[in-house]
Amino acid sequence: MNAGSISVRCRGQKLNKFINALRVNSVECRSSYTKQEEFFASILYIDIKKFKRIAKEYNIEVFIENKKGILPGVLKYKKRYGIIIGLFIAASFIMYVSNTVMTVEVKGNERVSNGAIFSVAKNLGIKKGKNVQNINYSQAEKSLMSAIPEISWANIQHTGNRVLITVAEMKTAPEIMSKSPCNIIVTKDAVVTKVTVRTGQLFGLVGMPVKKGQVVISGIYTSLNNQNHEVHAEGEIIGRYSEHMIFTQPFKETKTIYGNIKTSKKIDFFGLKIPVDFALKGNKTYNITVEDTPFQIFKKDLPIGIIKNNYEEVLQKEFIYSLEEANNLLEKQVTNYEKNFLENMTILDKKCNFNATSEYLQFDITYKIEGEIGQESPLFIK
Amino acid sequence: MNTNIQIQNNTSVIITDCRRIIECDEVMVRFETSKLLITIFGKNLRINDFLSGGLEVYGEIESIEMRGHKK
Repeated sequence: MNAGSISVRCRGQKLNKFINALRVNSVECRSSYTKQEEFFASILYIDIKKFKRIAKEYNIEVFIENKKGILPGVLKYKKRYGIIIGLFIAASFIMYVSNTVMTVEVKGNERVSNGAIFSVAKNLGIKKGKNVQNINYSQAEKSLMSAIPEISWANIQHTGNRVLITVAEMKTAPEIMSKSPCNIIVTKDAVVTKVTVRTGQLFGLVGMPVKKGQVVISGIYTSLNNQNHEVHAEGEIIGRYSEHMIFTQPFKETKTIYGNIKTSKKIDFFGLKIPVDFALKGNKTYNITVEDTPFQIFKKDLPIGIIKNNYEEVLQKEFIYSLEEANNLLEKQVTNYEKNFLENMTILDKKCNFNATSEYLQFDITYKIEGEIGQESPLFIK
Repeated sequence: MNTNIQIQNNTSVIITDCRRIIECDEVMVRFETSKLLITIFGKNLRINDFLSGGLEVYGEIESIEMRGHKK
């Protein structure tokens, strides 16, 4: 391969002898000619030392006219150490990047979260900054499957510096409605106001008082030929009952509040976290949220990015309430309770007694409610 | 050893066995093969020297003169 050539001009007395000496010493001359006692030729760059030596031997002056090709171009920069070091660093960087995990992606999961898979993968050594060659993929696949039982199959492979975890999840059996024999019992001491029986044998009548745990619709019934059958009793029992609740609001209480949010940033460089600003000091408690923002090229995440930690100060503050404020808070408690627990019930009556001490305000409320009081109770038959 | 001479129009002469170049300039190239003394006349003559012992003379070739070698 011709890595480069040099055009030379030579002047001297013994030109013809010099030309033949070049031939004898295997110095290949191209496009050579002699003009006005000067010899012109194009020689290979690698022959220049030999050429000069022979020229010296025959007392010929050599003038280099032109240099062509890769080798002269490259050697021109042989003392430019910055370029050489830069090229070396760039080559090392490319080698490092192509052998280092830059991104880990998960595919095929629906029920198992990405976070769970990433967490296990991290413990198995599959994380940003790790050498792709040092990962035991088949072992990691087995470990991933044993660590997350919902995963039935896992495949881990790398394309360059991107690790792709493909998983298949266990298929769950469809939920089977329980149709095992059961009774329907009441959950409160109440007076039955309405009964709807779909399956089973009704014990009792509307208007009858019932005790908590009493069977109202039985899952065992006797047919006309005196044979007992066990069924899954179904129906609705609506009853009226009383419920007693006490709501308390202290005049002085300590609550958790959230203070200022401080942010600290770190540079994530191939998994190495380099802090760029403040470090939090003191014994304060913080609620920390982490935002990881990797840099992207062509919508692909790079292993270099910014990690932002938001520190939300958690404070314990003492509140002192007036009677009116405590009363408002108690009313809010009552409203919340009714909204959350008595939404499907009908409140027939509500009696409220106030009790105020120096420390707290109390609402003592007795509700009269009408609502569903039936509950399935399994039948255990030998 | 026999010398093969290949002439292409009036632009190029390739000689397989060149022992020594005796004289060479833009209008005349004289060289010696194992059996002949060859002189090529022309204009803008150039030489490509092959390490195998071959030689190419190219340019505007006008005439080629061959003489037996003096021993």
